[in-house]
Amino acid sequence: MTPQVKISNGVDYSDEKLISDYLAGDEKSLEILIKRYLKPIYSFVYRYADAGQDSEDIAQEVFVKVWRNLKKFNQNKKFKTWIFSIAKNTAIDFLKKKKTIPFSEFENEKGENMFTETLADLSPLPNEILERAEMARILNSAMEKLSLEYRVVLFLRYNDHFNFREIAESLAESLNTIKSRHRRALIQLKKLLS
Amino acid sequence: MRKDYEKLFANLEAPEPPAGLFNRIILAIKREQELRRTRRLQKDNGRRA
Repeated sequence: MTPQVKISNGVDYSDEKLISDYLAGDEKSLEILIKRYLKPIYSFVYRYADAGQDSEDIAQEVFVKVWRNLKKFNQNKKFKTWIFSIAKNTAIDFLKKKKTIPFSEFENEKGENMFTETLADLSPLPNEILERAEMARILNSAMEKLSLEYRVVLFLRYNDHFNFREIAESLAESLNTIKSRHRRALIQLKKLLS
Repeated sequence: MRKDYEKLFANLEAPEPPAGLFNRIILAIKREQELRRTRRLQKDNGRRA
């Protein structure tokens, strides 16, 4: 995930610049911002709320909320952590309504596993495909056994490449809580993988 | 250590957003913008009447 694109070809495409351009009347800037965060937010709610097809509705709700509140966004803060905190709260609202168990499965209603089904096609050798699928299966199975709190921290850190401060801000937790949660999550994950 | 785990997690490709989600979001925002505009107009007309 590379949301904080600062300068490209001499043009500033940072989140901050896009927001101020949008607020100044440039509609395209909002579209660039949405495109930038579409995949990270979709996969976050997909994993956090274990919502399957509902992830689409939740992700849509996240971006509409972002748009509604963009004027109120404190530009001294990071947009990335702000949007993820909105995503987390929207996913929690969904879970409260549905009363589902989050993260329990990664399979959709057809019994397909989204992780193994969507492995990137880099045309590796058949053995490599099998190894990757097997690794995905093992890791997926281990992650399912972790609590939601642990899983989210690990996904944000190693999948979305957040630092601890960003995770803390996104999840509205203290930095120390996130660091110790991360440590405990890794210990459990190692046990499950070994 | 972080790199090792990032490598490990790279095996779990993030689920792709469905095609059309971006357009759905833009449409939802445009609809709400339109609704707000209509409400504002109705309010203004109400004041004038």
